[in-house]
Amino acid sequence: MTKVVIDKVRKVYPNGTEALSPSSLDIAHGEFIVLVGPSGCGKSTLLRMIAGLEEITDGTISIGDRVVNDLDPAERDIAMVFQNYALYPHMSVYQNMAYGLKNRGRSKPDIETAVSKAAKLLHIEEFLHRRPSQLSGGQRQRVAMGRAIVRDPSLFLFDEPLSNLDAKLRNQMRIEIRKLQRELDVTSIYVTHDQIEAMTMADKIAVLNTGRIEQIGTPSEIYHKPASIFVASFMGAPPMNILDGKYNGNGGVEVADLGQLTIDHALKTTGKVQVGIRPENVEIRTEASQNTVAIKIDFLEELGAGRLLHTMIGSTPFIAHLDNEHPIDSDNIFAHLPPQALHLFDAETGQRV
Amino acid sequence: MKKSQFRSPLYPYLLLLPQLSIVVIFFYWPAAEAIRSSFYLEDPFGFSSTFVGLDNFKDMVLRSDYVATARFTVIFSVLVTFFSLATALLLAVTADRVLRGASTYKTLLMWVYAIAPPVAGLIGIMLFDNLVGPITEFFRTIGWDFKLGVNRFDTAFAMITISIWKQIPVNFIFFLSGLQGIPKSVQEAASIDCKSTLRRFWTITFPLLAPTGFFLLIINITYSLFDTFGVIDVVLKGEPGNNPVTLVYKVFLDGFRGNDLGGSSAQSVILMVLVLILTVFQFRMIERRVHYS
Amino acid sequence: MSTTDMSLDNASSTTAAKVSPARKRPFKWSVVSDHLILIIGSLFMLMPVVAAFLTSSHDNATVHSGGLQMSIGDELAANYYNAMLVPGGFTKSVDGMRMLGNSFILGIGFAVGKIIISMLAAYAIVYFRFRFATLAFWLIFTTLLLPLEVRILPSYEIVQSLGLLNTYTGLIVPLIASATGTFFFRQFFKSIPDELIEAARIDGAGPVKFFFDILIPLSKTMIAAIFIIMFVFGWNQYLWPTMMTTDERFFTLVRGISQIMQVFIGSQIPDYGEAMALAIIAMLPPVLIVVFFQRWFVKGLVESDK
Repeated sequence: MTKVVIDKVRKVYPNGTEALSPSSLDIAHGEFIVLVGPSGCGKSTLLRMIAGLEEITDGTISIGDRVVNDLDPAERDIAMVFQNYALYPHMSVYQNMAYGLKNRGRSKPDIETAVSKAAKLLHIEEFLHRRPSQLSGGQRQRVAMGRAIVRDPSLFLFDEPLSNLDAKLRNQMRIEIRKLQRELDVTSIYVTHDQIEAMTMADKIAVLNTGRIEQIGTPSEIYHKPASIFVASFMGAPPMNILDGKYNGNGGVEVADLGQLTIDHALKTTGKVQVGIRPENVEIRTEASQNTVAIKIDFLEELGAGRLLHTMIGSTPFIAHLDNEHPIDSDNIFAHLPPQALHLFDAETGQRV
Repeated sequence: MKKSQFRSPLYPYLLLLPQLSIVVIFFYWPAAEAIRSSFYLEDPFGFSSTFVGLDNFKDMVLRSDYVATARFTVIFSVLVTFFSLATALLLAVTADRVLRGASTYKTLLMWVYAIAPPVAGLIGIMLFDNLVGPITEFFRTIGWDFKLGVNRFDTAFAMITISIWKQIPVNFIFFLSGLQGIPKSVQEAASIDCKSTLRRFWTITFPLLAPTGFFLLIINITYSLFDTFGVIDVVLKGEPGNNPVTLVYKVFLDGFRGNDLGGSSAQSVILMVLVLILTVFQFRMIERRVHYS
Repeated sequence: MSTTDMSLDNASSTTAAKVSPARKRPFKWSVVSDHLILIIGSLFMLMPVVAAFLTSSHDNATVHSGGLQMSIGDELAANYYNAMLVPGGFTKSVDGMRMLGNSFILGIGFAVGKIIISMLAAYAIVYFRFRFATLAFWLIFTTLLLPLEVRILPSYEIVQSLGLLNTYTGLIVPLIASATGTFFFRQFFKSIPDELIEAARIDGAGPVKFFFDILIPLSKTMIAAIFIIMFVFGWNQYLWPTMMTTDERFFTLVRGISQIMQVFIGSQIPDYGEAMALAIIAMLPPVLIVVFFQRWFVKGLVESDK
């Protein structure tokens, strides 16, 4: 059973920049956790500290029952899949997969069994004697996976492994990695900047921003109850609409160019807030009522499965997601913002209120 | 630096030991010695030396033959650098353009790189020989009474010509690879925007080639200062007499033949400063080149 | 391939010429002038050496009375035999073969020594984190600043005081003191993706395993390229061997050139043929290497200077 405990881990580079402020994260056995955030948020630093490729400034990391702070990467019983695969270009696929086992002093027949088993699982048996340069991107990706699997590690680390693949292959590999991980029942930590990857693959997501973990939760929690304005706007495509407002202390928020919005719970703060609503929660109506605003269609983006209506509220861009059945009378349109769909954030701290 | 590095209390020092010991013994020690003895006056037999401060430098700068040598070195370097760069650029641009036989031309134009300067010098003095040289013969038919080793100008002419010949290949290789490094799409865009080949060269190709050109400029100055020693020594047959020499040759001449250790060292130090300036310049350019790519 | 290309080209140019002769003509002229420039350039580079080679096939009297020769003579074998196998020089203790051997010792010894030493140093600098790393870096790379020529006298004295005059060690080792090779390898190592060392560390490879299993195999082309450049550089050394070796048994071919000059000055009818034969032999190995391994050589030369 491999659980991973990250306890108040901090990273400061020699030049004084803090790449990660003290962060804690518990990962249960068999869990697939995704670290997501924009570039420079500290997600890769955290992953590399878990791998042992980066020194830990403060705090402890344990894998299983061992504190691994001072262990060499090779001693941590982990396997890692790199963004550019990091396959040894001068070795065949077989040698690439066998190299780690060989260094561990495993016997030749042992290695052979392990490699062929992993190769079979990943459908790369026919490439075993080719060089990485003779493989396509997707095949290299599989070899990189294979190299991780043969080692039978207690923890998988993935560093943006799909970002070099084209969109179609990426979707396919997403599913395949998840299936494989369930089958092998190995705890996994996966770093990506792609929020769709995070949503679709994770058991649990940790959203990072500027060296801090903003929120940890299931994809559904992250999506439906974002803890901060950053999480709210980072997760979801198209992104959440955000409007500036002012709480009147009395169940209503004053929004410029829109008027008063009723909300479904009382807020503790008074003063400036930000109101968010996801495009798919915006309802389009033909007549004014409570929580509606008259809008003008700037552009209608056809998605096939639906449409995106682009407009402006004041000077803020605003998007509504419509299903195909929804009729649009372009002269007389109102956007309805249902109170229960509104997310409210403190304008100062960015935290959910 | 690499993001991920090994840590070991011993390995890095062991790995560096051979290089560092060679560098200390055969670079820092002699360099320091050169600087030290430039401040001393040593008697010809090497038994004693006295500290004379900057006297060696003062003597040097004031001596008319040193000034003349410095002047000749400048002329020599400018001519060698200019003509070898210009010829190589013309050849590279042309070789980059032709479709048929390009690789043959490339080989024919670069192989001279492998010839040692003194060997080039030896072939050169045969060609310029007063008795049997075909070039000398040609000059005489057009009325130039060419006398290698006798007439200062004629000797300099031979030295410079041979030095240029020897240096064209390096410049050609770098210019050609610089030209091939210019993206095809840029050339195609240029050929749509501008019809004149010549204009295209001066407005698009030449500016894009500038980093290579600047880098080569430094390389060529260094070459004409130092690497031409072999050419000059062979052309002068080891006996400069009345003929012009370059600064490096004079260091050798005064130090080894003249036994003027202090003066020779002072000259070395002056050259060191000169090279230092050039190299700082070059490092700047290297940084920029890395930045570009 | 070239024949079909040519015929196709000709066909299209003739048809094009029929359509718009005025337009096609200047284009054609520019191709002709391009080739003309390149042919003149090639001849300029080639002719001196051809003349030297042809002259080396004649007897001295012919050259003395008729100048450099542009035809093949019948003394080729004799001249090369004399140059290579008949001892010459002041002490009559050295022949061309001996000098050829010394040149190979210098060229190969220098190239191999430089590659090993600079690869180790570059490995330490790029792949290890240690105290004094910056100091070591500057100590090594400062040597790029000053060529041997400007510190030649004290270098000579030091080699002399170490008792290394007229030894192969004294000939080769001081030449290695410049960091060019280390610089090349450092640049190359830095271009190898970081992930490779990370993957290797996770795979349990320590510094020694990584060096032999990953780094050396990856550096193969770079090593070949640097070998070629360094071999040519070592082979062509002149000033240092001239000062270092007074014993003719340690002469290299390039060093021997100045001895040929001495013979030249002293005699009534100079040994033109033999001199040219030695010159040809002195250039042959480096030229062949550069021509045959042109691709590696050019790559090494151009990339290493970035």
